Amino acid sequence: MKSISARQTGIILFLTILANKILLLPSIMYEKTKADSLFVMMLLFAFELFILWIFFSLKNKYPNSSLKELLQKSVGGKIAKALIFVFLIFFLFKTMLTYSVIYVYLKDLVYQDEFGLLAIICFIPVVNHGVVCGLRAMSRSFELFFYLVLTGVVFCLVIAFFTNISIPYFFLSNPKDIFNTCFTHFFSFGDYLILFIFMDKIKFDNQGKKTILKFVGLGITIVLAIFLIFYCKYHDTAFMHNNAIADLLVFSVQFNAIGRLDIIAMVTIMALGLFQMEIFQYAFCESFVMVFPKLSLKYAIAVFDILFFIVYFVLIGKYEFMIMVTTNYLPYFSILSNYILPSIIFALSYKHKKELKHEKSV
Amino acid sequence: MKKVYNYFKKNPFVLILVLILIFFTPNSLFSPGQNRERAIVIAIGLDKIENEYELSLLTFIPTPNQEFKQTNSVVSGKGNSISEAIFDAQLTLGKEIGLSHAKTTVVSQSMLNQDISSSLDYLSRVVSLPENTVFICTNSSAKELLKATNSLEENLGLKLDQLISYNANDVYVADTSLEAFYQGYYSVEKSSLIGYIEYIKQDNSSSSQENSEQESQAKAGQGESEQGTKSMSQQSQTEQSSGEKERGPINGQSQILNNGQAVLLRKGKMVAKLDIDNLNSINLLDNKKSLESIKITDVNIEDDKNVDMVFIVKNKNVNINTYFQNNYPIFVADVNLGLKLTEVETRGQEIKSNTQFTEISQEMALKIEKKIKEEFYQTLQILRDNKTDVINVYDLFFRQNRKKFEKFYNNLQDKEDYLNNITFMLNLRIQPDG
Amino acid sequence: MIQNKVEKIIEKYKIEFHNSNDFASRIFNKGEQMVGMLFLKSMTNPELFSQTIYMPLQQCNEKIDEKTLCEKILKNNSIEIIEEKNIITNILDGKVVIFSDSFQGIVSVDVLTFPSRAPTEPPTSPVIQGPREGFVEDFKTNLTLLRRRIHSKDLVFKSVFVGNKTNTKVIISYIDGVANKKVVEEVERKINAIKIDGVVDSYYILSFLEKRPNSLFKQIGNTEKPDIVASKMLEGKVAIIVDNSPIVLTVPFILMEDLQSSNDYYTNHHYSSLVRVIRILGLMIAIIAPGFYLALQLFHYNVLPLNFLITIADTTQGLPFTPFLEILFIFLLFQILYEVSLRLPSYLGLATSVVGALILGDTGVKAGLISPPGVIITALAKIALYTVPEQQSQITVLQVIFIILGGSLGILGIVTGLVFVVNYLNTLDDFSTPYLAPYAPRIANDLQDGLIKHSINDMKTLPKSFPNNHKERSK
Repeated sequence: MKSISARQTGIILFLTILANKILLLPSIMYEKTKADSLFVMMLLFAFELFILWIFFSLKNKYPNSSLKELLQKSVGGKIAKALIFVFLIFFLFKTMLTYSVIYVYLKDLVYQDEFGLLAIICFIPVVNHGVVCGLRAMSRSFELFFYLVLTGVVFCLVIAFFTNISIPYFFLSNPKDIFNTCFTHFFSFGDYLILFIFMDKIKFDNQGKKTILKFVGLGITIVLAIFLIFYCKYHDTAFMHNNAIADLLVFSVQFNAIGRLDIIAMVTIMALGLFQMEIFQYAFCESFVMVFPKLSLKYAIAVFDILFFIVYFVLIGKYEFMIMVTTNYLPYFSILSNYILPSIIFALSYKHKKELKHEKSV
Repeated sequence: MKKVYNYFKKNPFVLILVLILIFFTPNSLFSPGQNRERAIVIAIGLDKIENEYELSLLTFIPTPNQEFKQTNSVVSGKGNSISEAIFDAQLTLGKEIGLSHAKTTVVSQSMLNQDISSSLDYLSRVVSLPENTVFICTNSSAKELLKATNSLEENLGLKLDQLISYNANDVYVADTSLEAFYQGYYSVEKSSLIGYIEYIKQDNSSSSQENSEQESQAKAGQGESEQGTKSMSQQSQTEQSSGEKERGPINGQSQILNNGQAVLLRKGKMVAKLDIDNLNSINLLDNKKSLESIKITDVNIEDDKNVDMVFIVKNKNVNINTYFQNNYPIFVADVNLGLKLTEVETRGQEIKSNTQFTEISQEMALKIEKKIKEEFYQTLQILRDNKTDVINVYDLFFRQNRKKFEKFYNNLQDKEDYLNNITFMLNLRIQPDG
Repeated sequence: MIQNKVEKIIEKYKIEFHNSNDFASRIFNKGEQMVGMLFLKSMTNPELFSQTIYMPLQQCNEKIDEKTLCEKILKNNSIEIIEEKNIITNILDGKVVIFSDSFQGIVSVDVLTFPSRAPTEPPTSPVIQGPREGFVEDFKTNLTLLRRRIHSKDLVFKSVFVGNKTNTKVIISYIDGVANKKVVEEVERKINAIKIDGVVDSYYILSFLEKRPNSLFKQIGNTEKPDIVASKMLEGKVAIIVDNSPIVLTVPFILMEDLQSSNDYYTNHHYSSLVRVIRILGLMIAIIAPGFYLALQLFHYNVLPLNFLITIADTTQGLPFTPFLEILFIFLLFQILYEVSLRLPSYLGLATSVVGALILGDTGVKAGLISPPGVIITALAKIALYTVPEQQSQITVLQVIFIILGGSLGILGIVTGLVFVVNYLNTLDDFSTPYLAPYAPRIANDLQDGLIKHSINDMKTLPKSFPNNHKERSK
């Protein structure tokens, strides 16, 4: 089996943390919780680390088994499929969300026009190709682009320091607001669920665990740094700037004279969006194959594309609608997929372990 | 056919390339390029004449040449709303306008009689005018100013945005950009400060403005321009060949006057005009700004009486403290000034060398202190009267004494008038430097 | 007419060789004894033939039998007793086949000669400091060049014949104990499985070694320099030497190899690192620059700094071509010039470059047919291509693809195109070797000879990017 290393897993996690959180999220979070959104993010990341913790403990107990095997042994084939089906839906919408965020950014700032067909012909074949190439090839590509993405993001952060920045006011919102915002943006998180889908393809030891945590830490730090610097820079006008990472590069009369630097943010965002879509579609296809074992990966890709086009015509480009769906309806779903489901898997694994012990003793 | 089908089945990604070639390439192949399809706007002017908006665009007109000289022209459009004005301008130009390279936005003073943000909001959100564009105000017509700038640029190579950038760095309190305006507008203080450039239209070339001009040049640091001190911004107005609607020739001379003035805005409306002295007083509280000279008169040194002296601020150290005394907020600014004597003028007698005075006498110090304080409190009064907090008093109190200040602020009858309820103290320490 | 055995054999092989002009036979009569000889005139040295075979035969007073022939007459020559079925192969190898009616055996004597050139410096990879020898067409010379560099009993040359018609000798060469056995076996298996009429050059067997022969990307290394092959074999790679070809193939191959030049190993490693970084930049510029420039002009004028935009707008104003057509036109012009300069006699080469660069370029700009930025960008891409000359053909194709992508889809097209290409390259893993190693996947040990080159004494172990027996290199 073509497995991936701890470093590659870490990089996948790093890239998925970044992609859909550094454009729209800082801006829409600001409307409710102002600069305290930083605490919202910390809270949400804590939930995310909870998922990671579950994954690590599962991996400790069952280093080689896949999610399907694990679930099948504990709850039987049908329920296992039903549970994985939840993941399947989650990843479909996750891919759509990433695509929408990137699409809106590109439409507003890069192409300044409707470019629906162009975006589709750019993204979908490449994302599909990534899935066909497989997890190993994809993770190798991520490894190669990792430094480029990191350089791009750090560049944007550093440039922001050359303009007027000051610490924003914290603790303006009450805990209720913070928890409310937390709930509203549940769907923007849960990226680490991908780990469960290809858990059997990840090989690492204790040292590898540290490597993964190192990349996760780096990703979280960068996202928080972007949030902080974005708020430091824009304060009360944060709501006007929908593309955080790109907007960090503008707003300075001096830089206006040098020229436009947002091309760096542009390329970084494109690459990040593409990578995240690849990995989510891969997760979708893997879960599809688990649910429908008779169908191959090619069918999974075809089904994804069909569903994508159906949802595309309902959702994409309709900016307000997209935010509305993501913040109003999908959070309920993501409670199930992000937190309840991993907890169930975790509990089942314990049950399964006990049964195993029992069998052994008998 | 079957062969072709099999080939594409084997190499589906070649099919994608073929699709791109079929659907997208022909369109691009014959597209003349965005720089030919769109008018590149370098500066925007906004005027309002009797409920009608006039949008003037300083537009780059590409002309085949080997010197890569920038040829610009002012084009304007009118309409009852900004979008109509834009459409009108586009009709005149025969091109869609592209605002992404706009470096300067000028509004006329009359536009500032009402909340300007709604008009700007359309430009920045819908037509994507970049927020880091320089944002200034002019006394009469933005269109005239743009025209004058255009000639200025052609004749002297002096660009308006460069001039303003200089002001923003060294004269104004902060950037005078669109974003800075919005930040002030949406903040609790609701006040912002934008640059002000005066446009003077004259029938004949007179020298009435000569003095102030000289002054402005010294301040703006552009004194080394070819025309010397006299007519840095004087030029005969020449009409540009463009699709401009109004072709009436403008006779006479016109001037752009940069004397470091700024306009104080509250809730997007203009409330006061600050001159360079007011700005210097505001800058006094800012550690980063140091370009200041202080002139005191009638000083007695040794045998000479009534000597005029000019000092420049070599270094400045500002320490601002806020505290509450009996629940009453007090703002204390300790300013240490390191001054250097640069000019000494005696009345009708021989000029003394400034190197003879390395120490600052008590009399000098008192005079300097008096002058600075007078100006500071005068400026503060303007800010208090207009309820405009551009010296970030709210911010400082909020950060340093948050709870007490919140309590004080919430108890105020007129919350916007908090400046009047704060006591300001300016402590100066003057010492010679260099 | 009664013919004896010797005449019969001669007649038989004359027919076999279709009475070919260079096919020769000699009959030597010594008393009643008749000795026949068969050989190809084009392959044998006439002087050597008369000195080593004909004259000793004449001077011999004894009765000629197999023993005297081998031990006395031809004692100083490389001789071989062969079977009758191998006569044709031996003749084709440039040997003289001797037989007689008085003895049974058939003797073949090597008096091979053919025109061959001296091992001069190959034009494709010159070095400033370092060995200037290059492989030649004669495989024996090539083997000598390698042997001279690796004085070891472990250096193995295994020969295989490929091609029904050409019967070309292909030599698989490796250092036993360093090269991975599986790789050697796989190469042998692949070469043995080749079914082809003829192998004229090593490129013919290259496609058979590749896992994806239809791929645009090169999956087998090739070089003309023995020092490079020796160093690659020392790392555990397998070299494939084909008779009559100065190009030696090496497997497994990683892209990084083409970014390394032999010069890097003969100069200061700090300088080498700098040059390698410039090479990768050159590679990127070569692939992307024209497409990127087009994308900016057609889709993202707002990203260009104002002054640059003004230059472009001024220079493209009034051109008869649209930006896309202009770039395609200039690209075509450069490609034609390149093809012409390759094939033109060298004394005309200078004239072409003058015509191409000065007259076409400069006059084109002055006449308002093409714009200076367009010429600069395309020329830059075309020149940058030669920072990695080994990848020239692939990059040229990629240039065209990226011009189409950039021109039709904008920057998004270029970024997605790049991700596509990298994804594809990562699926290439011939001989269990990741194509983009040591960067994807990251192999820490091999980064020493990556873009940043360390000094030779830091490289303690053999590369781990491809299979070899991981042995220490230095202590």
